[in-house]
Amino acid sequence: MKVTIDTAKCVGHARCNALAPDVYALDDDGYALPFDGEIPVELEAQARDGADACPERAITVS
Amino acid sequence: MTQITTPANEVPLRSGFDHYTDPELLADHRPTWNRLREESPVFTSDVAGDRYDLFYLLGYEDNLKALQDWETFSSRSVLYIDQPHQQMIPEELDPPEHTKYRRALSPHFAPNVVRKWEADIRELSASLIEEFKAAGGGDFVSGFANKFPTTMFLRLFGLPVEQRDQWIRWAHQVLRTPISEDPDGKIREGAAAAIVGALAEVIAARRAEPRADLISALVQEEIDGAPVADAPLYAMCFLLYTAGLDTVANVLGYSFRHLAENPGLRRMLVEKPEMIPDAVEEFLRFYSIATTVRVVTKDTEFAGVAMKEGDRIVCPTSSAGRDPEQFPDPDTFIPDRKPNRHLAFGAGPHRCVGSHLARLELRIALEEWHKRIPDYRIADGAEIGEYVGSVAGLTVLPLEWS
Repeated sequence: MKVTIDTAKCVGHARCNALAPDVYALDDDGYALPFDGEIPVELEAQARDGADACPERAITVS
Repeated sequence: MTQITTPANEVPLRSGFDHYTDPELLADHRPTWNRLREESPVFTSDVAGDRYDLFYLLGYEDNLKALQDWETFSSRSVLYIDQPHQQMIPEELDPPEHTKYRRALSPHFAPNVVRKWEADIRELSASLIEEFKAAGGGDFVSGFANKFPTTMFLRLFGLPVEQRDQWIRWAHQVLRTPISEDPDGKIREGAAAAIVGALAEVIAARRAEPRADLISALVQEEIDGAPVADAPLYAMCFLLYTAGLDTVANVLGYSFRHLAENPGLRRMLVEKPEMIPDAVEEFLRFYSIATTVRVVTKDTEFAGVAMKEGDRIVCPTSSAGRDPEQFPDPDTFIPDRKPNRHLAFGAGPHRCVGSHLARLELRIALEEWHKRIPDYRIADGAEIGEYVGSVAGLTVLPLEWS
């Protein structure tokens, strides 16, 4: 599974990190750090929950 | 009830509709938004007179898109009926100016910063609950909900906590006075001037001698390589103050009324406090309180409607949160609803900067309260008033417990 974060869309709701702290990291302002890559199998469910929680639809899971 | 008039090919007009004063909305807030949204997800009101048209956007998708699109929908004034008023920064700025001030604020309210205040927040909520519990019952709104976030705000900002009741009164005047009762804006401007005056004194003192509080931290922030000037600093502190007081308090009021009326849910949260964080999200969706406004920057078509430059849109998150196109079974409270992408804190660049603090305060209040007072009910014969406007809330919530 691959996750891409469109950081231009991120406004710092930080819901991805709240639901999937092992997948999504935040910068010092509380905005998502860039991420674009494969997710280990054991973190797939978390990654999906975090992506689904984003009100801005800034995270794509494919 | 405001009648719809629909000229051919135009958006429905609800003549005179005003979300601060509409009798139906005040009597039956959220079901009324539901009915209005079902009848027409966008309608216009002539309540701003001939200055501009006001468009109410009631659907989730339209709210989200409009709040994200700051180029079409400017924040230069967030009043639905424009008047001279104390500017709020960064709320009433657009990028790129907005971004500079936002960057000065964000690091002070980031999740990992706010988390460090958890012990203080917990200690404060516990002591206020103990104090209220000893009274054996009373008005939850004045007895706890207003005191808790206000005291925390005053402590974080290094403002005099003993003046709490005065700060609460000022906030209520600014946020709750309907324009119909204050047509020239004097009441709200007077309260805003009093707030700014009190803030200015503290700001001057912290400039001279910084302490370990947020005002001292903001005084040391820089915009364009220079310290923040007085006027924008007042506008920032004024915004944080008004946004920090009548918001968490109001969500607490709605949440505790809901819990008092739903003992099954209450028992579940008492027995499984690990469910509280998800339940907080559902309370935020179910009882979204904020209604914000944007100014249309250019002639445009949005939500199937033609808007002119200078028109304004009104975005009631309380309606967006109950839109069935986004939330299945929207009028059912589902404590572990997933996904729950509510807009209680807005969307786009102006997303509530205090959202992480608000979530923490809500969670801790629910945890600490239910450890101490697991069973409570609404007092018999209680009349619970509700107000609607830029924020919505309950006027009182009389609770009893044994």
